[in-house]
Amino acid sequence: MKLKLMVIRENKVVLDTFEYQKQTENEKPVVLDVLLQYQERQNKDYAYRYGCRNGLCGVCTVEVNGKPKLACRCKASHGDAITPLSTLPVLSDLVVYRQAVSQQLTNKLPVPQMTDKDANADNTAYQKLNRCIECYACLNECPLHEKNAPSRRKADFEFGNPYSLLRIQRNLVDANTSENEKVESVELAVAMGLETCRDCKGCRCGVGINLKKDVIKPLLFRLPNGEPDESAEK
Amino acid sequence: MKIVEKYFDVIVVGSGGAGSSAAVAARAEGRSVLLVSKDPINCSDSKISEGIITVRGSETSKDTEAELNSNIRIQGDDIGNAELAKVFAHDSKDAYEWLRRQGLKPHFDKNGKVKTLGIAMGGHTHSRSVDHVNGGLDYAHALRQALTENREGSLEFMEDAWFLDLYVSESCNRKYVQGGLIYHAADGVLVSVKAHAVVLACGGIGTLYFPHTDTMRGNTGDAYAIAARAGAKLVDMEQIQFIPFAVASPPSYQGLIVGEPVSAGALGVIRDVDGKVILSEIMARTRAECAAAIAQAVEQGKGTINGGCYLDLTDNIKGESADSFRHVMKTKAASLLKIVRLSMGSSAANFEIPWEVKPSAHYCMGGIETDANGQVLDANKNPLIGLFAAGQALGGLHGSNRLGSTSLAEAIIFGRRSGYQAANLESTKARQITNEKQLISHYLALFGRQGESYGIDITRQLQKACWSYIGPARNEVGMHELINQITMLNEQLECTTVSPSRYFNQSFLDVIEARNLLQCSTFIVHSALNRSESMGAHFRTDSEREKGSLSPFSVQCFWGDNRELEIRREHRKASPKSAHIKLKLQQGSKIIMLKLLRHLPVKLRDPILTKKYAAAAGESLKESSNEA
Repeated sequence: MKLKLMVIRENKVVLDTFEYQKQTENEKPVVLDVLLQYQERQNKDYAYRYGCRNGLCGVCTVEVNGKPKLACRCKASHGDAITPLSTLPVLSDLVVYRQAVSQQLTNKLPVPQMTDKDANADNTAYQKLNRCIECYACLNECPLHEKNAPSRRKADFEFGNPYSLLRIQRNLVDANTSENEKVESVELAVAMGLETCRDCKGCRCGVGINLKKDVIKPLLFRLPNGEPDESAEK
Repeated sequence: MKIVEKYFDVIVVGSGGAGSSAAVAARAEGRSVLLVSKDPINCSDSKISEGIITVRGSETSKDTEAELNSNIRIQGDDIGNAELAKVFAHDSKDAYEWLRRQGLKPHFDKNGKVKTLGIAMGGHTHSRSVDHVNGGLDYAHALRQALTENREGSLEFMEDAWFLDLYVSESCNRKYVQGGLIYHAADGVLVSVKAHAVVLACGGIGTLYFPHTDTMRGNTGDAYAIAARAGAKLVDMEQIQFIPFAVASPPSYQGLIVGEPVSAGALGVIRDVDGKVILSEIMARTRAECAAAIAQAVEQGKGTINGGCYLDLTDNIKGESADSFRHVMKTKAASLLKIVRLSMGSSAANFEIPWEVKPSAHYCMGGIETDANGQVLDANKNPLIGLFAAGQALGGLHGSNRLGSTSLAEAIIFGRRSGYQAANLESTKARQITNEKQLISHYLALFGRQGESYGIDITRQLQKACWSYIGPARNEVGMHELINQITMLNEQLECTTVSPSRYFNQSFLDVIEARNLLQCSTFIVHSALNRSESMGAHFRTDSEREKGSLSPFSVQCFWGDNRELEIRREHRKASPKSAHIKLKLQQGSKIIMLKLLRHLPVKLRDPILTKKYAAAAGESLKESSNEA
């Protein structure tokens, strides 16, 4: 099986070809198997991330043929091209700078103060959103995220993305959030450019959360001229 | 390469349960805190865990601190640190309250009371383990919330940052930790940080056994190696917990967890390659007993081609109770079954065929010796002033066997204690001269080094050897062979290539981690040689299992003055005999009950099993609290 892997060092970008050797006769390797073997046999200081090999930690996201995928879960095929996430600044090879996304809400998002109200509430909607593994696949083709000024290695994102909006929406379905905290949460979404989502056909989650239905629509509904929220009516 | 200087009150290394709670605790005391993480923040073993947490008293008020304490001590063969077990029993409820305040939501009953699993997990005498819908993800989201709220105090985040070594000064025979050196791979700089205190909360050593592990890649033993280099003492390093039931093949899924003893159902058994039953009544066994049974069969040439045995759950779906068994597995073990389906196919996931399984490194029970507040101690039991440890980095709580679901509670308990203590450390006198300059020049010299091999070559060879010689089965001959290999690899590491590039320099990172792994393998192999008999997770094929030794002891190690590893034994106080007997009787009666059940005619057996599984699935909790 022959694949192409992107090598990015300082100012050099190369698409390297690698022939993967199957470890067992019937093996159907995942992309991470290819990365591990590529480093061991062909490019000893190849930079890539992985963590749990189990689709949970969310750190091994790369692009396979231009689509964001978890390297530990995506089957590798002959001819695949493996490149870093195109939505975040590249540090080296397949490693991208992630901290600007995970820290975007720090000091800004109101954190619901425990009232124990959730003990007698239906927490299903909240728990649905907690399936997020923070793989950042959802940044792909997000017009909101694209508004952020591109930079080389560093970034401090002004505009939001589906991940940040998911965490804001989670406040709105948390039984422990006060009315005041809800208002602040919506204001934050607006400040991060929620209006852009009106004209968007929708975002795609790496683990199958219905972002449009469970995150974007309910948030838009809270805007002064919001669209009717079907999920809320149910 | 540029050197950036920074000043903080407290540095926390690691951002899982222990690191996050330590950072929040130190910040709440008004301190400036730097949270350093080599993996993305919160992407830790906590996040990828099953998300089940020990909460004392969550099922019944009869569940006392003394009882939980005694469970930990006795299951750990009394070799653990009694003070730490006491603290754990005392704080476990508070730790869970803290997580609740960060938004963690368990299952509730109709009165709004927290639901437990409904069964006593491995080694516990009460049902006191609380599970969560999304497993460890729920726990990680709670940690994320805790770090998001950053209004009082100052908390700075630095990810893609490898903490390299501690700055230590010495005066009047006392050592003081005053910060440390960091390679910030994202910025392409070395960061020299001066601080009053450092909390090491950067996990375990699972990667030493890659791919035979279900832990995060980042578990390269950094905390143990860094602390030992600064003069700390390590305890119980021979005690590595191997979960018994992990994927043996194919390679992509190797090492991932597919079951716990309790998820084997009432009728699950372990078979060797010839189909002979080598262990039954699995539900009532510990992880260590199951792992040892498999390791022994493999050692005797009765293992499968992939070095495993078979976990056979097929009897569980043969009677009328089949549906309720399937139901409880689907509700409580969905994530495990998903891995079974991916790796072994859908008939395996439907329990129709046995699963090929083998042990996998899961948790390091050994670690840095501390007092009850996470204060790190040196070889003479004096505090290494300014150095703290929490979570998997801390050693001695569990002794030789860790009770199920304790690690997520432990992380918060000792994370908060060490963070608080680090923040309130009495400030020391004027800054002393430390080893800062030597460390900076040592690490700078690595960049651009030309050599024969790379760090990754060393690591892969070491991982193979460690799985063979200090894995789930160990013997003296093999361990001496490993020591030879470690010597050779240490020499090779000195001649490895490191590229000169500044940003995310993988060859540099691989050399740093290979060194930590090599040092940890040295701690483990020498501790394991010292404990000549099997005990708990430490299984020796060349000796009999130790039979309730009258005088339990802990094996401890530290770097001596001449840079040779020194090993010491510390005797521990045994729990009262009556407590041992009581627990043995309890386990014994569980085994007998399961045995009887297994041999009961199917017609009589099915209604009992159906009821049991329904209870475990959470339908009727009351009935199950005293059962297996």
